[in-house]
Amino acid sequence: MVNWNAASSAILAVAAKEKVDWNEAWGTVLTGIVIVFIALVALVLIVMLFGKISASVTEKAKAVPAAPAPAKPAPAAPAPVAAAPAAVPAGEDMDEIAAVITAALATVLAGEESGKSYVVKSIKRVRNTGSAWRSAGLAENLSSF
Amino acid sequence: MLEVFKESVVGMINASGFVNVNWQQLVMIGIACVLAYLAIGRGFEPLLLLPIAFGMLLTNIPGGNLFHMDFFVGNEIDYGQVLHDGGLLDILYLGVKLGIYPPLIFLGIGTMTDFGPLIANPKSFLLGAAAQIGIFIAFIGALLLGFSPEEASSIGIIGGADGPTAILVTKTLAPHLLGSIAVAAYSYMALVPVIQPPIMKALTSKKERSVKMDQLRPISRTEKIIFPIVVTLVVCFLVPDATPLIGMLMLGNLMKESGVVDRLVKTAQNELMNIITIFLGVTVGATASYDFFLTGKTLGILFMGLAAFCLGTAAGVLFGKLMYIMTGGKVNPLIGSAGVSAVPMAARVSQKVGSETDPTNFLLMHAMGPNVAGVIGSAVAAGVLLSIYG
Repeated sequence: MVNWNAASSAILAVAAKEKVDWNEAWGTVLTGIVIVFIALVALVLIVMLFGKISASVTEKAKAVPAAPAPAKPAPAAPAPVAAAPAAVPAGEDMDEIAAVITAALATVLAGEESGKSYVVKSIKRVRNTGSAWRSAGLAENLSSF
Repeated sequence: MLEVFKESVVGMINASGFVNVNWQQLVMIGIACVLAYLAIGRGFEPLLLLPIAFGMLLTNIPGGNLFHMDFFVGNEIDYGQVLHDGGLLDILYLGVKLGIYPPLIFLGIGTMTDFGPLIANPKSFLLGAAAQIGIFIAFIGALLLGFSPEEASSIGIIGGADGPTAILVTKTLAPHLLGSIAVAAYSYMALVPVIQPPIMKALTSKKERSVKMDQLRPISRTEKIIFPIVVTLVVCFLVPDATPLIGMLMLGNLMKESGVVDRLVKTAQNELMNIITIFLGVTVGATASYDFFLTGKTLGILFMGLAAFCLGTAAGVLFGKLMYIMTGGKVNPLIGSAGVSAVPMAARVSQKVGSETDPTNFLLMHAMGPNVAGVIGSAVAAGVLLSIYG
């Protein structure tokens, strides 16, 4: 059976603290708030610094190999949107894909801010994430969400 | 033969719950049923509130002996006695008492958290810190209500809106209040969409609420991988008591962002998380036996817990206003309220209140930054309280 007497005396032991030491209490509040801010401000600074380093590294990487990917200038605006699907010859795959991407971008960007023109300078293929088995497994795991 | 039958029946009747039950246990069973209704019928944090409610019901069955709170209160715990005389829930409760479940839940949370918005806008960390001020104001409030500093710390941490953090602090500092504090923390987290919007609207003008924030920059994979390592080193060096929570959170996140341990990530965010959630919920509920729960202290906890939540929200929004002024109107103060953690509910509330003012305003990703920063902030606050009173 549960020993309720022991339980209640244990509570009393915990509860029967001497009077609140307000000096300690305010000290706790000050310490808590200051430490939380110090920790998170330190993280702000480190993450900002890291963001800057990362940005400069990617800029350098862009500048050195001079982007050899297939380039396709496209005066964006509603006009090329109609032209792009028409200009789809049964030729090189990459050109077709580039045309489709450019057309899609033109549609979206023209819708957002009309009157501005855009140039697609390069299109790069995203690194393949793995084998077909892995993709199938990932799809299976995500299907429930 | 009849004599034996009679004796057995009388013995069984005398040992049954019908004879031994007292009115307080019936009240607790009623409260457990109400909580179960809130979980099932209203969808209030059902994953945790349902096991908590049933644990509460089980522990108040007279003679069930599933759980003995008296084994765990007091300065010295006799683990031999727990293993020898303990019931099922006593054994499972060891995972709470030894601080095993909350960090493992954090591991799962880490595998499901995207720190991208926080990395893209690191100033969000400040909002995550500001919302923790509610914890410390509620700490003072609880002291004024007559709670001991250890109890007040556990009550204040409800304002961190982070269940595992509240449980970890309470099991160390005030284990006799664990049931009440867990019920308060999870109930208020479920009520975030009700509690926060009036405070957010009261503290901001329409002009402030309609601020559209700049689009977040894209984050490289390298940044996402380095982030959990950096956070672990900075926070754990500064507040070593926060290491179990932050360490596990960031391990989970590193596993996710590395992309090389998909199987482990799947386990951490599904099977492991679900198993721990069941153990944690049912044992935390079991601590709410009538002699520990039906006291005036529970009312004080419910009141101060709500105050901690409201104050945290207000502090976050006010700091958001400060950032609005400092940046010349580039920050929408509504994202400040998401700093109380309660991921991702609090961020959704920021989005909802923002879109009520301007339906074309999308604050969700901006609010996710302070939201996940709040998780880190409340773990740091918990570490500070544990280091002072633990």
